[in-house]
Amino acid sequence: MLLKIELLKIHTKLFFIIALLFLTACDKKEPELPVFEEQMFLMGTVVEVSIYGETEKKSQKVFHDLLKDFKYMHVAWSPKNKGSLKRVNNLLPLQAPFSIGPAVQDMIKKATDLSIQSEGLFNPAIGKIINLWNFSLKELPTGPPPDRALIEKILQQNPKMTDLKISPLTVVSNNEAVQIDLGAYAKGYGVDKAMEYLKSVGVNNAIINAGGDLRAIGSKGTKPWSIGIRHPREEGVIAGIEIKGDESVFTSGDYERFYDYEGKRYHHIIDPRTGYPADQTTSVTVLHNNAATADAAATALFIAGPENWQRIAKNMSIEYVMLIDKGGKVYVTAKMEKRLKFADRKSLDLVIAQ
Amino acid sequence: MNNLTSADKVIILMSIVMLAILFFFTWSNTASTRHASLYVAGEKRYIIDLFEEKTLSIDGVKGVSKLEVANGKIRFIESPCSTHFCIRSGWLNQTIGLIACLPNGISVHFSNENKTYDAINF
Repeated sequence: MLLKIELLKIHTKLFFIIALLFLTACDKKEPELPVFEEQMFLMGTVVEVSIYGETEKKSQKVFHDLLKDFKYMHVAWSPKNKGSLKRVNNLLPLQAPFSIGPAVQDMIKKATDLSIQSEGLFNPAIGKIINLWNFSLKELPTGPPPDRALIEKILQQNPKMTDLKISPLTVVSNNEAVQIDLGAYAKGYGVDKAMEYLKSVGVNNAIINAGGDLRAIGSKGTKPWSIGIRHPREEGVIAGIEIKGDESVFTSGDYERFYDYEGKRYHHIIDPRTGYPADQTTSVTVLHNNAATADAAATALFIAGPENWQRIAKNMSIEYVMLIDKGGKVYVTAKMEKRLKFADRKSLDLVIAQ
Repeated sequence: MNNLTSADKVIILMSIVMLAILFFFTWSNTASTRHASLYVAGEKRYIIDLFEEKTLSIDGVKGVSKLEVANGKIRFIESPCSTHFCIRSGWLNQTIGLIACLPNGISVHFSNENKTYDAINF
């Protein structure tokens, strides 16, 4: 009888230990506070803002300030709007010095540095060619693709960012074909500026996701921010990644803006060497602490393709890359491989680059 | 099995009951409260119960978009845009995160309590 009572005591203890384990697991499932989430339609896309750990009132105020900032940036930096960049493009063909505002000058200088590092694969000076393709913000063209002779004429003039000479107050172009399109850069630059603002007002845990390209800071309480990277050819996510501290994740994909014409697909990532869509890659994902750099690098590496992406990544000091080629082969840097959690690793033709 | 004491039986029974309770709270609650938020021109207009089967007609900036709701999912079935990317996106699910018709200014995303990922990169 005594033995039975002892056993019952032991079993009862065991039961409570198991019960406590269940309760611990439950407790960890939910974040401590709700995440504030709002979105805006701007820059031709949906910009989502997630803020953790702040009051609803402060989050709302910060969101409305960001909305104003993004509206300003959209007007100032789009080559189609009547803003600072439009003015620069109107004056560049004069090939005479003209004054330039500090904000646009900063963007052009940084974009030029990145263009040089990318061996010209990221080339915002081909605005004339981008304009011919006309992948405008709201409605996509339906084809036919632009006249080859027109593209060739611009290519012969070889517009590049180093054709611009920038002094403290002025800029002058040495090439009449230079027209600036910051489509592969402005979104990242804008996200960086927005994040600087959030940090300046004491928001330390947030995500700014501008149409699928994002920068995240801090965490969601005890958990890191979790980001899913969309599969370029299938429904759903190819891999997940957890953000550490302050990082940007940018993807360039041939599925974002495209049209099919006479059985051929034409997408929006134009190779500045040919004037036509780059055709060796389906998507490139870059992780970097600076969103503007990640934005430019994703485009440059997409154009570089499976043969040359490692060299360009090294030039641009990009350590975290995933590139998927047109045959579906997945190339990742060793550092990126350690960070990614693939949804179905076994099904992938995976190459880890050292 | 014959070696089981009555105390063992009580513990096994209690464990099963506890598992059933935990399962109910962990899974069924998530499913029954799953909602999506629908935005028009950047403003949150509707919270949609995804388990109430229906077809929604939403006035956007360009015209009317139709969305189908069924079995915890939602998708565009008609929209006045030229590209129909919204329709081609298919069902909004845990790994898509957001579907939108940009020309018509309509977007739909999961309410944050049920998301697998905090953001989707594409």
